[in-house]
Amino acid sequence: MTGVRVEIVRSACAGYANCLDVAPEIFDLDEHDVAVVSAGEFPAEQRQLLEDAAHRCPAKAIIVTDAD
Amino acid sequence: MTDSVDPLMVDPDNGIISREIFVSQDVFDTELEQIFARAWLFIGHESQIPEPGDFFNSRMGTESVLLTRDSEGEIHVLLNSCRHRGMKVCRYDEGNTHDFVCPYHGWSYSTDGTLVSVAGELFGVPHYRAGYDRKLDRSQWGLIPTAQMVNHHGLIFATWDPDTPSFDEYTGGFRFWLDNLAANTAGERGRVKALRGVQKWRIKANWKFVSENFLGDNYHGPTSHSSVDAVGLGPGGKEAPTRHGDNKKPRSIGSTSFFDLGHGGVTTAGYAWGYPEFEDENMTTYFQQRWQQREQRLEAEDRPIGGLGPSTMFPSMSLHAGAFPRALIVAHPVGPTETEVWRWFLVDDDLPEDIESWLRRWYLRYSGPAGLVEQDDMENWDYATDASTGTIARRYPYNYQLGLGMASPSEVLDDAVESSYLMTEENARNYYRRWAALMSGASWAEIDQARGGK
Amino acid sequence: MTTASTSSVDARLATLLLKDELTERLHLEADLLDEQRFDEWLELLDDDVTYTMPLRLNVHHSDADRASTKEGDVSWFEDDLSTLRMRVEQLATGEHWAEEPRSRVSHLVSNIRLLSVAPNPMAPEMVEVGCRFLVYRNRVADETDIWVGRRTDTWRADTQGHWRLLRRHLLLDQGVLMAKNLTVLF
Repeated sequence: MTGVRVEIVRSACAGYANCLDVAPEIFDLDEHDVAVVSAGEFPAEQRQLLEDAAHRCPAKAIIVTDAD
Repeated sequence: MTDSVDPLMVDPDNGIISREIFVSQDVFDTELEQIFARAWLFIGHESQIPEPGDFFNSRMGTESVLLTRDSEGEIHVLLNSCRHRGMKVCRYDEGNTHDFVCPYHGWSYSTDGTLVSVAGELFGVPHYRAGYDRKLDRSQWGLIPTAQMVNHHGLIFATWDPDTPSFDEYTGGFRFWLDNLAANTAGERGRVKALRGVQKWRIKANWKFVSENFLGDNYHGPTSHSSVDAVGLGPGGKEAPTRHGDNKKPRSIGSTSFFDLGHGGVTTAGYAWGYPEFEDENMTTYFQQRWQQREQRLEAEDRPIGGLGPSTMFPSMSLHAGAFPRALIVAHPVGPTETEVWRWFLVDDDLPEDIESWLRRWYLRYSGPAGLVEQDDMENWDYATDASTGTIARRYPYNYQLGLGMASPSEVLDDAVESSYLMTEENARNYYRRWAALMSGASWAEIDQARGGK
Repeated sequence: MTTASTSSVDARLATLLLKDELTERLHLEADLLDEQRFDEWLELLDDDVTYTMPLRLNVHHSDADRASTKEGDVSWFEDDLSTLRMRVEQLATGEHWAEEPRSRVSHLVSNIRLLSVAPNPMAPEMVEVGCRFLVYRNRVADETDIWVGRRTDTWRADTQGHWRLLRRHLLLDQGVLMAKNLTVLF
């Protein structure tokens, strides 16, 4: 199984913080209240969690793709 | 705003109704509070939102509401106003989305029952951590849902008042008219669809003129609509010159009104309207067959054969329950002398394409602002309103004495009376009885008690 | 070279004359309607005429295709010759209260363009003409309506070579119609 890549579109993030509710160990907000992610790639087991976070983002600022 | 209305304004027993109730701003403001915030109102048809995430921007009284279908397929009716600063969270007439993001400060609301516990709940607030320290209780700040909602064979209704009697109790025997509206021409309920597109237009008339017109006003037809019968607008053309095409059938003996409930229809529950004779014989054959199926089905299901033709569900939804035409109209109040009218058109969901197309074109030449019939109604409603606004005019009430004392209990329905003659204002008198009961500010329990309980 | 350039000038000249002819047609039509010469107006219509005005909807800009209703949907009107004749006949009854007394109406047409000519401008048989319309109505005393929008017509030459209206598609720039009715012919 391939890993998962997560990217934050910083210009889109509005600091809703829904991603922190879903996966506090993966997402955080920086000093500008913009989401940051703890790593670039995650193992396949975390795909569902990450997709939930992306789905919960009202600003559609979280992009989940397959790792190469 | 006044809390209640002077009972002298409405005297149905003597057929006297004050013009004030059609022109006064105070009365109008009270109506919004006592009627539109309490009554069951029509929202839309299920076929307008077939897929998860679909929404239709509707209206209750003067306010915008969203009819939505969430990802679980559940239907909701939500006030279209952000809880933060009131901005409309959606200004589209229809569409599909998984959330409504307010364009003002970005609060976002779910249509999706899986994202949050209840669809319409607030699920995203910008700067939720830094600005609110994650302390805002989002579950308390969702879009306002209606207190009650019902899906009656595809027709969606809602009310803001948790104490309003159940939909079945509120509609009473009028449900047979609604059943006909929701049924195809073979009588199967839930087998109609709304054609895409709702006609919306503004008239300079009090909203009650619209309701009264369809409620049971057979009296206006020969005068208001003389020009359409002359040109052969009906399905039968000039050879069968009535606008509904029912000239070869016996006329209804009278109209029906629901004494305590305010609804009314221009025909009776026992009267089968009958299919028209069409110019095109194939259509006559088709509908003749459907009508026979309908008769058999209704008999088997113990439903009355009638309840077709123009009618009004109190307070502001009017309908043509039969197929010629089959349409519904909602009179949304804007001000005492201005109304926004919405018109939906319904067809059987399984019609042959050419018949659906014929019906659609016929509906459009009958109803709506370009309809040959309806155009003349609006001329009358507007100038009747206009000529009732004056100081002198307002001193003199309208006359509602047609058919006074000429109604008797229905043999088919236990909560209705039928007039003994086609032309009557019995329905209007009972409509304003209901209107006055609600406008008095009485609670539902008090209103129910005044009816003698159930 | 010379031949080609002459024919190109001829084609442009033919297009120009055609545009003038159809512009004249639109202006004549406006006069007939505004002077209430409705029977003469009906003479300008092809037997197969379709005359429609869809509803306009507010939808997301990426959904532009759904911003007006389509064939098969509800519209303001969807007429053929028999319905248009009925409208004219209704006006003549003297009992069509919405137009009795008659309204005062002016049709303005502008931005006229030939959108397509078939088979060619030298021997045109079918022409698609685009324009904007502004229809002004004043009625009884102070009742006034202004309708503005975009119109696409198809005109077809009859056997005598006269232009007859085969299709009129009107896009009114209003979501909620701000008039009580549409008794006016567009």
